[in-house]
Amino acid sequence: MSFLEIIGLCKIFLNQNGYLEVLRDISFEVEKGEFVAIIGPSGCGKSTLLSLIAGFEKPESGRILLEGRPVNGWGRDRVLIFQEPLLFPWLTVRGNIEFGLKVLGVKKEERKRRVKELIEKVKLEGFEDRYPHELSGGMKQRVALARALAVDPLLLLMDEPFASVDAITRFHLQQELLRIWKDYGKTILFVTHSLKEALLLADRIVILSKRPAQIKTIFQVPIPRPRENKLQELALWELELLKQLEP
Amino acid sequence: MNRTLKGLLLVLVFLGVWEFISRSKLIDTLLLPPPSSVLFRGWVLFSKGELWGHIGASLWRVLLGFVLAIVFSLPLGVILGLYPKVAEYFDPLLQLFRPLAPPAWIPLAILWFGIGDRAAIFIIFIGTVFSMLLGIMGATKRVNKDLVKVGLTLGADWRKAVFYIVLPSIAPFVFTYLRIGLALSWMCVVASEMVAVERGIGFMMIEARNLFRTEDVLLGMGVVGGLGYGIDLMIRQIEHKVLRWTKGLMAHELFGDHRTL
Repeated sequence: MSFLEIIGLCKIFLNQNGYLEVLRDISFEVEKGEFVAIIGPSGCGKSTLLSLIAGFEKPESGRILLEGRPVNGWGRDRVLIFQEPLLFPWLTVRGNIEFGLKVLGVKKEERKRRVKELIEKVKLEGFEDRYPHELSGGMKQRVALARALAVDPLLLLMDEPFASVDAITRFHLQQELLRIWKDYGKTILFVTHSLKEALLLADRIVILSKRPAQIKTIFQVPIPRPRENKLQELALWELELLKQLEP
Repeated sequence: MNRTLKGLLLVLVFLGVWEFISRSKLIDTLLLPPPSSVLFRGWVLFSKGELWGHIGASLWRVLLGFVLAIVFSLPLGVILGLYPKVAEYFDPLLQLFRPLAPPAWIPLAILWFGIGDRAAIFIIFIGTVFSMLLGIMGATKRVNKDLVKVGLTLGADWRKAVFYIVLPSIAPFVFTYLRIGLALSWMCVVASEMVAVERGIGFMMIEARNLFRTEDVLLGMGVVGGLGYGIDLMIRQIEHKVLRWTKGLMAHELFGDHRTL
């Protein structure tokens, strides 16, 4: 039994013109502590797949098992991080990070301790009392990450979280995510449209076809970590995969 | 020039023009006494203690009717805003009642409750509740779905999502509807007091008219305006504190300060 099992997932959306088949028979497994990237053409259903795992959508058929238990609706064991940081604008950085703890009813001293630790982890010391609109895009995404980590989820579901920040910020966010992944031993499912990003971050890459999405292949990234300075290897593997994926 | 002075400027101009028109006998002073005699009359009545009873009665009715309307419209507005399928049942009913002006309820209120506080409070409630309800419902409908999703994914249940996400999201609009509702309450209280009660500022004004004491009529109008303004200022103070986070997000900041443009 794997940590996360996706078995024969199918998803169909009804619309005015009839129906739209988005996912067709998606099956794969993720081990605990693994970093898995999901990649595919835009509009292929990557986000839908995450939304199903998060529990916001129900599949037409197929099952999702987390630690052997079927996923039923949303829950804080699977926290979703979106492309937009979606911080609560009426809460400060501190308020946003402790949101999940507050909802859980964690005591004030414990909340304070956790928030302090997370703020250090995502390097936002000194910004605790700022409101989201006073932060840069990268800082907002850091707050979103800390907010998700605060509830200690089994699974982090990340939907193109670094797609809307500049290249420099993205590089640093990626490094921090890897550091946090290692420190906390989280299992991460990471949707991206960038092969480069997937190769840099993931243990394995699930490559989806265009809609209706099917799994084309699951690629085990052979580059040893740390990878950020192995530019040649990254580039070669990217080229190799691009060739394979030619339609 | 600070805010208070800015606001006072036009008030003083208005009073000055009025004083001038009255004094110059363009209009019979019996119909339009100058503000100075209205103020003097006010001073006399206040020092004799005759006004306090009327003010207290009106204030009490406004607060009670207004609070009842909030207690009713806030939860219902949020629920109807979150459940459009339920709102479909309510919509025609609400729309049927909405065009009825508060005075249209006065005959019914007197039949049901007789002359007195309860009739007045009922009219205030009914006169404010529909506007606030529809406003809060509309604001709730537009709450960002993804923000609620974030909350749910972080472990909030329905109740916590409403309290921690929906309510803060609609807070800026709620304050606007509270202020509109409060102004409506004052309109309703004066209207209802003119027929349905035996005390209150509206009652005082009708009595004054019967005795042709125009000063007292104008004084009543002034007192209602002043009280309404006073409570509105209090709501604005609270609004300012609660909505501190909106500082730096509002379009008027682009135009308010010339240095930013």
